[in-house]
Amino acid sequence: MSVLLCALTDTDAADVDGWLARAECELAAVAVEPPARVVDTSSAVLLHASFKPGRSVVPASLTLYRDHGRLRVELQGDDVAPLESWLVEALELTRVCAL
Amino acid sequence: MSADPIAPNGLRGVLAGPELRELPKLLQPGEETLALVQGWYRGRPGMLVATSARLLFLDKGWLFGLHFEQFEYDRLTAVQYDGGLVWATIAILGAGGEARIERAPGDGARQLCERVQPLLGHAAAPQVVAAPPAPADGFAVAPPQSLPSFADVGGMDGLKQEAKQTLGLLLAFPDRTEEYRIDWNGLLLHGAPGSGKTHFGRALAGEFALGLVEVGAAAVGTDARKLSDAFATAAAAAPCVLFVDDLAELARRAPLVDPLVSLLEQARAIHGLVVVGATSDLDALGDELVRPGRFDRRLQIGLPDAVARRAILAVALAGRPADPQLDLDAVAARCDGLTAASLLQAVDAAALAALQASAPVSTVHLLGALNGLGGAERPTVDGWSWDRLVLPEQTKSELQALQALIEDPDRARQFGVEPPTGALLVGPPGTGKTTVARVLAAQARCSFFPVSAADVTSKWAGESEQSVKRLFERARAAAPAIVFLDEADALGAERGESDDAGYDRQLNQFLQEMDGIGGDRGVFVLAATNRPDRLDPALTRGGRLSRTIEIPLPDEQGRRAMLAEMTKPMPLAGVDLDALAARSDGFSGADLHALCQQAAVAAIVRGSDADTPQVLPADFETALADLRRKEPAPA
Repeated sequence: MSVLLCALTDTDAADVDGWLARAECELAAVAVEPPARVVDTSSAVLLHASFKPGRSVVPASLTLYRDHGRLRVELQGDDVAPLESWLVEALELTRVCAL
Repeated sequence: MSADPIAPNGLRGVLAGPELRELPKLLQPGEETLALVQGWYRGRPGMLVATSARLLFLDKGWLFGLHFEQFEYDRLTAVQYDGGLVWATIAILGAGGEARIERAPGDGARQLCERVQPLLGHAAAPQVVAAPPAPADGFAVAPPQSLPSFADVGGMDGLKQEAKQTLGLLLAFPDRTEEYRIDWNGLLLHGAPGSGKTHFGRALAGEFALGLVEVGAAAVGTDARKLSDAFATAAAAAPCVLFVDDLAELARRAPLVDPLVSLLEQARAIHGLVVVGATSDLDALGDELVRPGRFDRRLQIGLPDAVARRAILAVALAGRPADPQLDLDAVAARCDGLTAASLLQAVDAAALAALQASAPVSTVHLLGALNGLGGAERPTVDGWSWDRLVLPEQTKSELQALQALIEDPDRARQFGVEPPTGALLVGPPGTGKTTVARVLAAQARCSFFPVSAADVTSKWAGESEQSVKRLFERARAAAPAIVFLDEADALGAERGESDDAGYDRQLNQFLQEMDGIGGDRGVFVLAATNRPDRLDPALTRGGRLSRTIEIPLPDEQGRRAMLAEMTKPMPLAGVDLDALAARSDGFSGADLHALCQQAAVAAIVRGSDADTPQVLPADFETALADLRRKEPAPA
């Protein structure tokens, strides 16, 4: 399992709903299970989706902290580095740290 | 992938009957069975079937062709594999909590791992993560989507803000937390029973998309291992909130204190584990639980103000048929001092009343439900109105202004005035101070707790303070309430004047309780005395009995009105009430009452020649003379 903390760009952090809509489109295009907002509150949004970067399906949980423009990315599986990199690039994120 | 169900824990034989053959009928086209194991859901044993698309739970009923339940697949988490044993959480279910595969022995474990592997996304066989932890008995992780959020919490805006500025910040900036060497993780919620601590704790988890493990005194008993299980379950599910309810009760159980302290210490090192404790009795927590390093932040959940009460009522009414004319502001203004739980209880009662009337929930239903709160044991004084009182207009309007403040203290705050928590009625004996208190309680629709020094004084050490404490506890439980202290000079005389140290302690307790209600509204203290000079100055200082209302002897007009009222049921003949009022200067209401009663008695003693009984002027003369003979003429 890999857990990564990322930051949105300043522009995206100022418009998290706009970023979310874009992110959902990006994710839907490649996910085997399209992203679903399982939690959407004034503080956080939790997205669940599944990807199949190789032979295996990788379930992903993305938690966006609305007030701070930061995203926790949790990928369940081994060898998820390529998927991680793709997510960072596609969603225009900056890696902060691994958790 | 085989469509053949696998029974990795040796249940193939058990499930070889015709029931198992029914399973494929439940599957959608293209859906494959991946694993079938024993498991639990909502405390019921049964079979968990992991398919390529969802999770099915089949309880024993299904085995006999009676029952099955289906849940949406949410996500798979982890498998821990250790030489023949497997312990895995295979699914977090949308609404019902956690379902887990318990230990599956031998080859079955390997087969299960292989089967579950694609769902877990492992490219290789599951690794040995650690020795399998003993499954936490009875503690489940509630997924965030099953929890309320701050939107479901009426009011508490300050607390929500505080949570965002602490927990929200720490979740989003774990890197900076390390940089600043902040290892904060503990939050202690305290407040009166029913104030909404548990609801807020759940909403805290839901708001920040965290899982939730709840543990309380009932689930733990005195078994420290269960406490440890709860921490382990929450730690494994981090980021997660561990909500420790009844903290004071746990702290009272000696075998639990040291383990609890130790677990709280360990929890600080687990990133993403947020321990939230709750208690309604902060004083009962030992120093070891409240000292720095345990719960770093304390949040008091006070009684909701009018805005919060309105929000709570709105949340509780959401989705119920409600009258469009429903005046929530009026209802919220009417229920000062009520806890969130009491408000929810009132909404439920109002909804039931509305259902019985086949009507939407209206203001009348809610106000009726509020009046009914507290049940039959709530001491009320219905039927007492201002009309019963003969008082100077100025005194009456002062009292009515006080009533308005008791009913809606938030209104005073809107004008920048801190509403009084107590008032002192001062006046000669017999002027009706007790009646005034009853009318105030009835008109402000408060419970009424009359008390005199004799009621709460005991010769046993410590007993008097306990009596005072219990009195205020009862009053708070029946809020909104008025505690009426009659003959306040007996209980509230200046400290140090009595040889009895117990007296001072009793008064101190009383003062302490009064200070407590300053921030914990719903209880108003009304005291009465004819000797204000004897009162301890601490009683009348700001924040306690800060307002004094004089209840004077009636003037001639007042005496006339009282005499008219008191003689209404009497068969008067030729009695000049105006003259009587003029001659009774200095009489109190009680004196006038005695005068009328004496006159009636004199009439009975005298006998009557007429066919019908009559009370004559001579009877009043007799009564006047009699009264003046018995005691010195009133000043």
